[in-house]
Order: sequence, then C-alpha cells, then structure tokens
Amino acid sequence: MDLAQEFLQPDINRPVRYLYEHFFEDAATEIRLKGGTEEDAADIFQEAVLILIDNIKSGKFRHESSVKTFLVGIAHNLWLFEKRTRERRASRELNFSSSETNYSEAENFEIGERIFSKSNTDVIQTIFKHVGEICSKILVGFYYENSSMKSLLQRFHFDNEQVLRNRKARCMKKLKKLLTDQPELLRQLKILSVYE
Amino acid sequence: MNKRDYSEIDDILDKIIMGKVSEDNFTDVLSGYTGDELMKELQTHEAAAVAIQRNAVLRQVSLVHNAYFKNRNKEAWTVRGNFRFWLSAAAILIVVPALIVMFLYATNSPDRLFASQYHTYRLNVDRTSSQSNKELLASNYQAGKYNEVITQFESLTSKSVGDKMIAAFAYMELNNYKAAIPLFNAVISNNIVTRENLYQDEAEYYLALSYLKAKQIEQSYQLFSKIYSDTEHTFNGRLNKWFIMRLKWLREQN
Repeated sequence: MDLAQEFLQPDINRPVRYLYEHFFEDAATEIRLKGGTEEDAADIFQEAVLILIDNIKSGKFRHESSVKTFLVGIAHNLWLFEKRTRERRASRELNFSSSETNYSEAENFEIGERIFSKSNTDVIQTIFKHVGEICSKILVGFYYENSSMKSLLQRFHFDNEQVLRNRKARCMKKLKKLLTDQPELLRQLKILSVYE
Repeated sequence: MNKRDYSEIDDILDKIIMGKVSEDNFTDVLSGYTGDELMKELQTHEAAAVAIQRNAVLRQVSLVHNAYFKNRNKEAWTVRGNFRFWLSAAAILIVVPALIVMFLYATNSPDRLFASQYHTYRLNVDRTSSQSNKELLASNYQAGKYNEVITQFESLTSKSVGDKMIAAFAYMELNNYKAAIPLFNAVISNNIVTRENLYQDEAEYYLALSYLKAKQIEQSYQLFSKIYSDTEHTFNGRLNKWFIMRLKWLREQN
C-alpha cells in the first residue's frame, strides 16, 4: 500500500513510525543547519507530521511531491517561521525567500494557523484528559473510526443504544464546553473541516 | 431541554456536519434556536468533531514520537556511555600510571634510593680481627658509640679487614660516606690480593650505598648492577628491577 494511502486508515502507527525512522534525520539536519536545536527539530517534525497527515486525510495532499519532500519542506518552513517568530516576536510575516531547496507543494503551504503547534497540541491533550477516558474512546470511535452506534454498544457494554447515545451527547457537550473556554483554539478548529 | 432531547439534537447536528442532511429537515427539533444560535451550535459541534479527529491522530503520533526519541536518546546515551567508559579506562591504564611514573621520576633522588635500601649493619662473630681489637670495636659499635669506634680504629697500628669493615659501618652511621668508601674499597682490594672473599658481599653492597649517598652515581650503578645480576650474591634479594631503573634514571639525570 502507498504510504499516503496508509494514513487514510484509523490506525496510523506503522506509517508514522516510517516517517520518523526515514525522514526525521533529514528534517533535523535542515533545522540544525538553520540554527535549531535537537529539541526544536523534534517539536517541529511532530508538527510537520501532523500537518502532513491532516493534508492527506482532508484530501489536500495532491501527490505533486513525494511524502518526504513535502514533510521535510513543511518542517523547513515551520522552522523558519518559528525562528522568525522568536526573533521578531510580533512579526506575522509569512514570506520565506531564503529557501534554497525546491519544496514545490510544501512551499505553497500556508503557515497561517499553526493548529498543530506544540502549545496547541498540549492544550488539546489537556482538554481530552478532562473529557475522560471513556468519553474520549466513545467520541473517537464515533467521529474518527466512523464506528456505528451498534458496534460501539458492543464495545462499551451499555444497556442499550439510547443509553449510549445519551452518554455520547453528554460527552460532546462537555467537550464543547471545554473548547468554548479556549476561544483561540476553538477559532482555529472552526477553520478546519471534519475528515470525510 | 431533557437528556433525550439533547441526544436527539446531538444526533441531528452530527448528520448536518457530516453532510447527510440539511438543517431544514429538522426545523421542529431545532425550533428552540435562533439562526445565529444554530450556526454557532453547528460550528462548535463541528469544531468538537474536528478536535476529536485531530486528537486521535495526535495521540498516535505522540506515542510514536515519544518511543522514537526514547530509543534514540538511549542509543545516544549508550554511545556516550561507552565513550566515557573507554576514556576512563584509558585514563586508568595509561594516564594514571604515566602520571605516577612522571611523579616518581621527578622526585627520584639518591637519598630516597638510599633510604629504600639502607639498614644498619649488625655485626656477626668476627672471623679475622684480633681478639682485643674486635671486642672493643664491636662492643662500641653495638653500643652505638660510633665516634669511639672511629677514634679507636684510627689509633690502631695494624688494621684487619674486620676492623676496616666495622670502622666503615661506623662512618656510615655518622653519615660520613666519603670516609667509608676507601675502607670498603680496601676490603675488596685485599680480597683480590689474598684471593679470599672476606666480607666481599657486604663490602660491595655497602660500598654501592656509600657511593649513592656520596652522589657518585655511576660507581653506585655499576656495583648495584653487578649485585642484581649475580643471583648468588648475599644482597641480590634486596634489589629489584624497579630499584635498578630508578638508579638508571639518576644516572641519566646526572
């Protein structure tokens, strides 16, 4: 199976491992050459991986470049953005003219909203901790794995489907409340669409 | 709005955000919402679904990310650890002994070598001296009256090999090594003439020590080397390779 195709499955452990094992060093070298540390490279690479997967799952990845070129290109651009942000703090400039490598598709990628930035992903993970383990599993089963209510009922052993529906609705309500408490994150999430 | 009602709305919101139906189909259920409220509710509902999907991806990526860097750091640590181990081993096996040798070389001296070998000579039963001289010299030497030994020895008109040995030992005890040297040499020369070996080993060993203390290193080295290579020599067991090497260093330093 094509690497990009593998990301369309709910279980993406294997292709993600492949990305880390085969492409991290290239991205890290780029980042180190541009003044980043090992820790910077790790954070930036994770963000680039999340962006790549999001592009594939949303049908935005058009295969005009290889997964590697796209990924390393995003990491490169993200790092330049991050570096410039650190240097200028308030600057929102998105034009990177210093790139020497041709990253084609990745170059067109706009780093406007960094939904997968380290700070955002930390907040998202904290929110889901507050949602609770059972709720998270029900919601992931329904919205991410596209499992039917019937299969979720078998998996979570609720008395009947209505009890499960009520529970799922309460979980969603709790999640929406937590997200409303994070207006900036909510605003960024509203820009994105649900995966088909 | 009761729980059943909310789960019904939740179900409808899901269908709308997934594009399965339009909100127009549920005007009766959603009649409690104004247009803006419904839009806001739909957007928040979709944002929540987006968050669930992205978090599901994030969780899997984080697991791989953490495992990858844990193993990577462990490998890096092992490499660093091995490097540190070999560096320590090299230090212990090469640097530390080298420093010790350098220290010993720098602090090597005739006095140190002398102190490592010298023991006051204990008189045995005299085999050659006349009865009267032997008794007096030996008793004074054993009593630690070294000056009296010398005075008495100087006054003797006839000096036997044994008298010369006792006098030489007394000179050594008085730190007058230059005076002891000719007496030991006289004993050795006498043995050559008489073809005897009276006090030969004692004379050689203590002469070598006297040369050392008198800073006549070459003569000392020659004698000690002879004793060290002669396994039959009485004092051969007192010497070792390390002592001869340190003596060699002194010879080079002079």
